[in-house]
Amino acid sequence: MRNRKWLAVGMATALMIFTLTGCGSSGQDSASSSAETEESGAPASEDGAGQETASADEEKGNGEVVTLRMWGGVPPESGPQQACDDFNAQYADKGIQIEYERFVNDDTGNLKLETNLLSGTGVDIYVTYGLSVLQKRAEGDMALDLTELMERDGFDQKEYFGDMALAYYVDGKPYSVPTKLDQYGIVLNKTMFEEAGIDVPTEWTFDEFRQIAKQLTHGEGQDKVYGMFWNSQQDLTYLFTYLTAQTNGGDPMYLSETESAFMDPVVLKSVELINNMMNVDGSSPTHTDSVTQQLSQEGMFLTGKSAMTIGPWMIRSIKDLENYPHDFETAFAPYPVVEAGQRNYTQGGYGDLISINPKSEYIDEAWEFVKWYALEGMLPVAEGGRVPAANTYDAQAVTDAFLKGAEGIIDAETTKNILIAPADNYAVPSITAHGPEISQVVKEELEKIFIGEKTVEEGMADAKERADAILNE
Amino acid sequence: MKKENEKKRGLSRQAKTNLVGYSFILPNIIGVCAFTLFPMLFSLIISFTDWDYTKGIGNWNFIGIKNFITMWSDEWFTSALANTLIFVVGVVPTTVFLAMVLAAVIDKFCYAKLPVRMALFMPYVSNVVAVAIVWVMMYSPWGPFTRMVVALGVENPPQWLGDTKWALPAIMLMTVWSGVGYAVMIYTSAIQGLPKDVYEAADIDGAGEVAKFFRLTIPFLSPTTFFLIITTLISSFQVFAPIQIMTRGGPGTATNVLVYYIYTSAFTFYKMGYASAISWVLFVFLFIVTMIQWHGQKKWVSY
Amino acid sequence: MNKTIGRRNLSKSMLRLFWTVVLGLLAVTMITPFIWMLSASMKMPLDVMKLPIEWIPKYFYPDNYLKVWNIAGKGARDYHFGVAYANSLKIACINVLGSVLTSTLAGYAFAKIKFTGRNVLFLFYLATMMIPSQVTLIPKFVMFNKMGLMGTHLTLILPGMITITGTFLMRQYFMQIPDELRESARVDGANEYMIWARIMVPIAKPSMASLAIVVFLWNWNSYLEPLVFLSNWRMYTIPLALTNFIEESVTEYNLVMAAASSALIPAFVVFLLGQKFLVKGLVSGAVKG
Repeated sequence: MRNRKWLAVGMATALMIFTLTGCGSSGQDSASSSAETEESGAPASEDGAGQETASADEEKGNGEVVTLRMWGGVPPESGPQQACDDFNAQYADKGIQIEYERFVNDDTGNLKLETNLLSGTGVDIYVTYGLSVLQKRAEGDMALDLTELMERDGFDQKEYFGDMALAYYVDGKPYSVPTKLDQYGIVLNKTMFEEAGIDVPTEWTFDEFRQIAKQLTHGEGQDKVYGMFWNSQQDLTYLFTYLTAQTNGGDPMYLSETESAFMDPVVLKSVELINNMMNVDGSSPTHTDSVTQQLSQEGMFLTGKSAMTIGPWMIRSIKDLENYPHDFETAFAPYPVVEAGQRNYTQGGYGDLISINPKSEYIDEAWEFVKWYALEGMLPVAEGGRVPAANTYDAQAVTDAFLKGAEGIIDAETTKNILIAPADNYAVPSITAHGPEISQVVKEELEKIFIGEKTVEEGMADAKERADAILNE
Repeated sequence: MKKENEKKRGLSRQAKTNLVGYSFILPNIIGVCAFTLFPMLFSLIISFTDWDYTKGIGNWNFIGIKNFITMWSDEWFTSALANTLIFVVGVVPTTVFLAMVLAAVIDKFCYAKLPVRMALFMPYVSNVVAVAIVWVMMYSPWGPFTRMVVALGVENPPQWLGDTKWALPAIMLMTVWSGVGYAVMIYTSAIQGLPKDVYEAADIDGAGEVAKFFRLTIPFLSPTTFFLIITTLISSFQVFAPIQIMTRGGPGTATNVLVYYIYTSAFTFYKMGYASAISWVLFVFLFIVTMIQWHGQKKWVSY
Repeated sequence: MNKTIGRRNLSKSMLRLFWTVVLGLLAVTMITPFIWMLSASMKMPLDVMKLPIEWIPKYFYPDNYLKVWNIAGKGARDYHFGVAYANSLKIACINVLGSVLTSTLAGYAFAKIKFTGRNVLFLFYLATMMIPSQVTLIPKFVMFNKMGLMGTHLTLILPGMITITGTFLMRQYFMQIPDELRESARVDGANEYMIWARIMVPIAKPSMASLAIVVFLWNWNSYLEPLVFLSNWRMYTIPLALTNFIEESVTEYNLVMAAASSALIPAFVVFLLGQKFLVKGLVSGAVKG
């Protein structure tokens, strides 16, 4: 009895010393010693220090199969897995296979991606969400300059994506291929609109929008139905920038590299609109409600507790009748503008910027996949609500994929007009100076405005002062 | 050869003791040096640079003590520092004292000790996200706190987590609540070592339970109390998870605490150098407080 | 005479009853998150966040567990939760064994063996706890990357073998134990190693048990470091597997809680095992005098 106990302790000691010495030696030769230490210390680890070892094993048995690893923020079941499966089927005899790894597109998820990019292992292809992030990654040598590969293969971005592709270059060079056409709008409950005798708007001003939201609001307490749900749980900057961008263009937070736009009249009007709907009309849950009750768009809109919300990133939930049962029809409308005739831009642009890790050992194969995915592989992803950016797709096929399984639940007409048909005047960002800090400043001030500690004027004036101080550091 | 032998034979008692002592702490020392010391020194060096970790190793500029100077005019830092101090002062003594009383009471005056202890430990076992969500719901307008306040006749009950004045105290209460079970467990294991005979002697002297608690239990538990004060202090200065899940520093900057700001600086603002500098300021704070405790313990900790 | 004793016993049990009720009430609040987890794990997604809280699910939906474990093809895909479960168990067990051992060794030395530089070394130990792990994350990453350990469990196991808090805890515990015990064993001819193994370790069982429980839970719930150091689902631990349930616009808390509830079982087992030692320690506890 006693002996057995000591045996256990002894083994633990031995194990520990083993692993400690193992690590000491591994400093010298990383490749071989990592395998060594794995054997001694971590019996169940089969993967090793990266994908190379695993794919190297496969190579032996299967001629020259290269297994690429693609990292994306979209859950695999929303389409990427199907796209990768399609690719694997098509390229099985060409010796390229791909495996999809999902990271959560938040602070920690991006940290995970970036450390893996820095370490050079495990990522061949990845997706970046947002131009400012791409810029960071290009500057940090985490994204491959695709100029050479594009020239070699005669891959002309302008041909497939139009002139707007140039807006996603960093320092005049392509570090990514845009794959998704982002178009945003107000998501609305068409059934509720019909019952109230309101036509689904194709053009509206802030006042008209506010009026309609008021009109659609009824009931009290737990049964209250709101006209609008400003999803302030999410990034608070979205709310006003989407409204502002229709008039002011792609840099709603900036006047220039050194001056913020928080006292711009359109910005002030946008914040005022949201504030009035939350705190004056009661046609939207307040920010406090949203935070203290953890309101979600699914919980509000898909249960019929709000007639409208911002979007359309909840397409997949709308189509998921098993988890979010509902029987109304969803339609889309453009964001309202301050006054008629001020729609200078369309809120939207390119997203899902796909890049290659410069440290990848399989750059040619990765490029093969990027081309395939951007130009022909995206239909499964369209089913998950992502519209391909390239003009190589048949518009009807995209619409069909987008609406697949949503007949009678999503209105086809407005989907096509608002989300799928491309516009020619997107609000494309060009300034990213101190982006995260500026966002943080305005988030804090917006919160103070929405919970009633500051007026719109005061809060935004403070935001401008703080932001400008940061911009002029 | 002969000389060496002589030396060996002459190995002093102290040297032998040293060898034995070092052999006991060797695994620990190796581990600390390998996995803690290097990252610490690295972060110290980085604190004098403008490093953005996405730029890769070595891609930094030394900027002297600029980080250490600019932080004092950075409102995010100063407010985070103030919030952290309030948090620590509120949480540490409450948790430790409450835990000591609870541990003693459970040990002496309680039926069903095991289930009670287990229940107290549940917040520590439960998933941190679940704990945070339950507390968000507790603080919601339908939760018990608002109802209680309304029942007391307050017309505009506070919005707790949605209120700049109440958000930090609300999180402090939750932290005490979820941390007390751990401290109770540590105390419980220490109470098992309390000398029975001394208590029996006190019983014969006719000492009351309260008197025994203050005169015997508290002094006997003082080494453990010292441990708990230091570790709770460190973990409170470094509070992070509940803030990140429940308020993300808001509303406004009401619950922005040091480590949350360090995290934001490093991974949202990409200012790793600045974040490291703040960490070292936090380190100095902690170290001073610990040193004061260390020297103070001689007065109240009885070994 | 008998009467007074009877009355005293009565008042004593009244006191006990009173405290039991008070502590019971407190205990009830403490288990609410646990109850909520269980309840949420059996709800439809939209019912999870409904207020006021529905403690008993309106629509009982145990399918969440089948989805998480991918049984009967219920899941939207295979979340590989079983793999993560096995990985977490492996890492937590190795680290509990390793760190309890190293802490008990070092804690004893810091408390009882008067070697040169003891206090300075110990303060240095404490100091290493004071730098928040958020800033040492990247240096650690750099280090493991150079060692070629990125993506392996050794990134969690090697540092996990040592805990400063544990060393501190054990030191404080041994400080309480009177020197006489050591001295008398010495007289009998035992060396430090024998004293440690035969006398100190048995006495220290209660503290070792609480340390083991705590270390297990730290490893079980650790998130940020595994997230950065592990990059492949085959290596993932439970907290990383939970991120599978974060959808693009919504987190599926019903699935998160089904997974988290499943993950509670080993934690319970460890706690109950530890409790046995916590109370058993009583026997050897009455040594101070």
